[in-house]
Amino acid sequence: MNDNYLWDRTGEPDREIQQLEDVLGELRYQPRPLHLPQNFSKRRRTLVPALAIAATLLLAVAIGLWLNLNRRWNQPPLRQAAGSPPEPGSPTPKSTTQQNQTVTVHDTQKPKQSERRQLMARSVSNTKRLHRTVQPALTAEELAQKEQVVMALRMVSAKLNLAQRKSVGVPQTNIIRNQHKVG
Amino acid sequence: MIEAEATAEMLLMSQPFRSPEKIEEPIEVTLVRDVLAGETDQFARLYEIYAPLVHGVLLARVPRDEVDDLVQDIFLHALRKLHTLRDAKSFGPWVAMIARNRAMDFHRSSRETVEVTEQIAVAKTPNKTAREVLGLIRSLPEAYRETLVLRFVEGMTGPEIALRTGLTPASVRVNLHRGVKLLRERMGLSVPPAVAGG
Repeated sequence: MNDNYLWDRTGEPDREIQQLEDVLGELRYQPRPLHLPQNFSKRRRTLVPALAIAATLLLAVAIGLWLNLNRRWNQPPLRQAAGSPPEPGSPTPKSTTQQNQTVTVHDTQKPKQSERRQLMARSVSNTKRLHRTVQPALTAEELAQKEQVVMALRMVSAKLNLAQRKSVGVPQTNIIRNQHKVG
Repeated sequence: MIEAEATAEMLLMSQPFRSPEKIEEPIEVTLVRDVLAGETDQFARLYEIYAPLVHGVLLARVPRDEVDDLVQDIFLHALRKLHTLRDAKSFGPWVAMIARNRAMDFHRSSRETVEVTEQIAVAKTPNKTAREVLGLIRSLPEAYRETLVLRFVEGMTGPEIALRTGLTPASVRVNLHRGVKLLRERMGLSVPPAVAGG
């Protein structure tokens, strides 16, 4: 058998292969036109999915921007929150600490001297934290009230814990387990 | 005169370098792109080029009377699903795979009908020799029958079969050799001597 003729019809023709070609060639494909149905319409690549995705992204960005701006607009300025807008001729504070002091000190209803000092010291010590979680809407009085509420909650919590211990009793294991809190 | 020659040489040298072997885009890539761009008429050329391949793939698996209609169905299906084809260069292997799957579906859905139709068709045909040889080829393992049909029925060469089906040339060569060897063995038992080469 001539391998080349079987492979690509080069070289000396192989008689058996030629006979196979002759016999089976009768079954060869007879060209016929491709009949497309009348109602056939090629599905074009639609841009609908891409547009939908783009619209969703735009909407999400727009909502995010709107919320951000809305929050900023609703947020009162630092001085306005303190309750005493600066006068046009008043000198501006030089440092952040001074600004903070201004925030906490200026108040419509001026607290007592001791309370003011206490609040000022607290605000100065927590300058960074206050800057990070700025709550300019709270006035000095409100801050004091907040501290009182927190203190009251702590006391109530301690009393409740005491009552629970008295009513349930303190198992030995609990003491051992909670030693780290005590120590 | 000398200046003119020098200028001509400079002009020649200033032209961009062109590779002597220009890499041309395969025709199916261009056609697929055109069809996807909306020129559905270009699909007729793809059909002309690849119809023999699909015909051969089907002929190795389903009765001949069903082949022509199936070829049309497969190309209509291919036209509808052309946007799912990732690589336009693989149009041949892709449409051949559609044809193989369609042949399997055909046997699943109408196995009994196929057998009856085959018998009737063989009885009616004046020249039984071609059908008998085709029947022998169909009795060969699947790996060989498609390659043999494409080679002997559709008249493709080994490299063409490799190019259209996506098989490696080595695989096609092996399939051809082993398939012909098996076919000869079977023809020696049941095929007229003229076909068997005697």
